[in-house]
Amino acid sequence: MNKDDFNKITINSSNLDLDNFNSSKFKIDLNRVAFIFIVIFIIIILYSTRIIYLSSKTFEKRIYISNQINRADITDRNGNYVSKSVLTTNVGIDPKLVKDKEKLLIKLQYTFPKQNISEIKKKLYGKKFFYIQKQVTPERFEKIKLLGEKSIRLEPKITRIYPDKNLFSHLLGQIDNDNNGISGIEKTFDNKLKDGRKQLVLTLDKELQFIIRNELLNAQNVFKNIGGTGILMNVNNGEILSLVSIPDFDLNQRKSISDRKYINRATKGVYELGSVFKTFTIAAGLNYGLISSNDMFMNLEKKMKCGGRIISEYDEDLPKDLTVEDILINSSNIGSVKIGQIIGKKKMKEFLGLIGILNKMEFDIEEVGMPLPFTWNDCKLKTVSYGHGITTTPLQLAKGYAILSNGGYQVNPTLIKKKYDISKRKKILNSDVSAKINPILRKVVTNGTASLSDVEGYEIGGKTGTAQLVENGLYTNKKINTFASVFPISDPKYVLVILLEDTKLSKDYVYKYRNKPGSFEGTPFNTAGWTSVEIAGKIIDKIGPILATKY
Amino acid sequence: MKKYVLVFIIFFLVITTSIIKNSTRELENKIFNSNEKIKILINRKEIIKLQNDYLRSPQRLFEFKNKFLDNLEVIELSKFKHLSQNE
Repeated sequence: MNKDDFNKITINSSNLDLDNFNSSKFKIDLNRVAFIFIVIFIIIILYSTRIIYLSSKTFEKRIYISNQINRADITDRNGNYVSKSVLTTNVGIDPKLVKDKEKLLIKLQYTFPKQNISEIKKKLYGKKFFYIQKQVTPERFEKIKLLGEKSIRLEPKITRIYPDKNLFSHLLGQIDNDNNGISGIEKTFDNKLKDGRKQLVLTLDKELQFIIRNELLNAQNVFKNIGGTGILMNVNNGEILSLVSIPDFDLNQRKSISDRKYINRATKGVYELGSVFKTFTIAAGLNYGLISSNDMFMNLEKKMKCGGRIISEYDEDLPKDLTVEDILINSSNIGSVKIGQIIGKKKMKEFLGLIGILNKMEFDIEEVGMPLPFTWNDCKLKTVSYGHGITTTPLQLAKGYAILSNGGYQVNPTLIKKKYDISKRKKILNSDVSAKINPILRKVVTNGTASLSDVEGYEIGGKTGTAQLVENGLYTNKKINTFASVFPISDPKYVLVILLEDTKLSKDYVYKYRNKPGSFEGTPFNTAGWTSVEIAGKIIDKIGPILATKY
Repeated sequence: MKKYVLVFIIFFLVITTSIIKNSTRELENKIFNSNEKIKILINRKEIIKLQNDYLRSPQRLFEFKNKFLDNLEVIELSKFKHLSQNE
């Protein structure tokens, strides 16, 4: 706009009615705008405050609908559950909240047909809260919910289930009502299990465990023994594939077990095991280079004195001249004593300590027995040489045989599956001990006292041991029959120990010879060769194909 | 004027942050619910596996064997014929 144009602008004063200008009207218009603006502003502020408030609020407590089980499951090496926590429900009634008691009774009769209704009726007319049934199944739980009764109280509870009942009773142990492990693996790994994050995988195999338990129960029917145990262990990494002790008990019943007959014989039972120790005596001699397999012992006496007792041969017809190999194959007591005397107290003690026989062993469960301590003297050396006057547990025996047969490497028996680096094994015996002892163990089976376990195709090697059971510090006529076997002997993989306690002769049992045709009826002698060896053979018959194909 | 712009920007950022936080929480809730559903399904799977483990346990199979397969014979190892590669 230039100056000329500006001059052209004229104001028509007639159009402005300045005299009658209503300033209040203008104010009202202005206030309306301001009012609308303020309202909108307040709404924005309110919404903003709300958004800020919502965002600043801490997260509300979440409602967990999945069950919060805080004890991890335990599985066998193949992932089968052996112990599992499940959510169950306890059902109770608060009589004060019941409106129509007769109607409720009819409903309960329908829902709990096995319950004693007259008992429930009695409690229903009382005042105290009472349980109708504990640990109801999910199906029944749904039925109870459908009753729609306010007086029925449903209390969720975590229950530990052992689907295999007795099968792993001595190993798994039990938990108390507060979810605390009180024995076995449940106790040792209590903190880890309570953590609840990861399953605990065991080295055990359910199928092998079942077969071995079944055969031990069959043996109990035949030989009427009061108990027994079976241990199957990998000789190279110490993994226990099966550990059975009978009699056993059903873990689901949650009974307090105090009777001594239910002890875990494999780990807690401390026994004098007899001739199975002769293998250790010979292995000690071979390890220290004091004897060799073909060394001949001439003119062996038939009897020998030891602390007022007589040591004699079980078989009086044994030849007077025996090689080291013959001494083990024929289970010569006198021959073993002679070898023991060559080794001496110091080295014998050192060797037995080295293979873990003398002291309490560390294991994955607390129920471990302590071998009885004794003082070493000349007579003790003699008796120890053939397995008397010295005690240990069957698991320690299995460990000893594993070390002797696996090339002399240290082995720690375990129930927990973990990565194991075989190259990091510690060698504790001379290499040639296994190479020399394994063929002799094989000959004990082919030519000696363990021929009933010579299962074709599995190259079993082993040693029998028959000892008298010690009760209250005194020897009894009861027998402890043990067979420690290793197979396949050309490349040892497994050690199987079978121990039967207080066996009796069977008149009707039929033995089938393995290395020749024919059979034999009745147990002629109450020795390991006719009891434990027979059972070990039957077990290997069944587990052999599984081990050969599965592992 | 600058002050107004600054106040507006701060106000805008606060509101935007709040909106984002709210939507994040919604997402977290959805994730939580999904996790809960997964847990329930895992529990269900475990219960079914437990039933399966029990039903196919050696004990049960032996019971069935004794009940239905009484005539089943165990073949001795010696009766198996060894086949050489040429056969």
